[in-house]
Amino acid sequence: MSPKDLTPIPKAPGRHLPGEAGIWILVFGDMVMFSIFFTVFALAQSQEMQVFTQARTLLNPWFGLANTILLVSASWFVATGVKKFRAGGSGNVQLYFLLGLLCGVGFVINKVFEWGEKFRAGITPATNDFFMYYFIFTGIHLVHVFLGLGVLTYMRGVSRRATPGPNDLRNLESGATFWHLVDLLWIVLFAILYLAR
Amino acid sequence: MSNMNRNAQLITAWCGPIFTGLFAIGGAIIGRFIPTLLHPSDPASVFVANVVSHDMQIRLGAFIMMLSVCFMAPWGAGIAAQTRQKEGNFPALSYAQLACVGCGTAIAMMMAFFWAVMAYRPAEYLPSVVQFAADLAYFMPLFSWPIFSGWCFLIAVAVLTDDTGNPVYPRWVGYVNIWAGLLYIPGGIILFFKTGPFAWDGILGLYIPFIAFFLWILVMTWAMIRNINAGQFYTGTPAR
Repeated sequence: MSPKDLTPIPKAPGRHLPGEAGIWILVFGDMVMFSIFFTVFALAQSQEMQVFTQARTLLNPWFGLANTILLVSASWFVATGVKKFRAGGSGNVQLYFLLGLLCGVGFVINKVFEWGEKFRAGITPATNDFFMYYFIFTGIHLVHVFLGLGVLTYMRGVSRRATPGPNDLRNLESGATFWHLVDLLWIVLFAILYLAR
Repeated sequence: MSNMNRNAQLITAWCGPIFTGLFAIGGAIIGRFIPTLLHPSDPASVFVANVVSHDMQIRLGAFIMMLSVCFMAPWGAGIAAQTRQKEGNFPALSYAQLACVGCGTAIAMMMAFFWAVMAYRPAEYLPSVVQFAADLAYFMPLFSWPIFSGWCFLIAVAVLTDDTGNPVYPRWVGYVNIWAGLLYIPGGIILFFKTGPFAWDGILGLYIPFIAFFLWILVMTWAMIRNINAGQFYTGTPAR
């Protein structure tokens, strides 16, 4: 039997969203998971206020700030790249995705230095509950960054094609939406881990 | 025209809800696997006393759990059969799914095995052996997250990289698969904790992966049945 024997399923009419509806299921699903993370963290903090407050002073907020700037910049580059692509994009569209990608790589390098500094100071996930959450939450976020770097690499590839395909804009918007999620989650992590008092 | 293939696909699809329902009875209501009767941080004496006082219940639950997990294999095969028709002569993604469902079913059976053995003669085993059996029962489905995440990601690839405009499942189902695959990851972290949300009795270590897994089964079952109802089953004359 060949695929032409199969009855195509008609597509349901949908409202316009950046990217496609499916990516938003992933975005909101992931936000639900992180909301549970943050709730668990808040409950733990309320039980061990002193430990958390004290441990927080051991974090270097400059690392966190640098990473926030890197991710926000990456988001700006990615958003600008999509905008330029939508407007019919000239040859430099891929440059925006490349710059976004480099910011993301910078985030990873910065994280290596930050974690390295902690480990050298003898701070590990076993130190106390605050650092357990710190390493696990930022670690799971780092997994998202790696996924996002893969997505940005793909987006750069798409934007370099000589003739854009029919689904390219949708795919770029979906990819950018995921990257903004990575950025947004970091901003919340930065606030609750480094800044909250 | 034969309805044989239509019925065969429907049977495999319904194996998903049957698995879910039987696991809910055997694993949750009777067997006390989830929500957890036991806790990794309990002292050995408390741990064993809990098992001893619930031994018949755990045995009955484990029996039903074992029955439930056997439905995973045909269910996974049903999905692979549906993604296979889009892959033509080289169905790499579908074969890889079959490998995952094979491993996954074996792992889920080991979960029921260790849960059963733990309650076989808990008063005669050394207390640490009872704890070891319980640890194994929880590590089986949770610490094995890569095989289950990989299974989800394979389905996501089959859906999202299909550029024919008519993928085997709606594209949002592909994204649900990525989401589910990500939610199994905290299951790997149970190795490092005996208390708290990441331990094998914790919300992030146990409950989120399990809830995501069974929600995923229901979404995929819906998508399979949707295809069958749309007429996607074999009606031609067999080759040869």
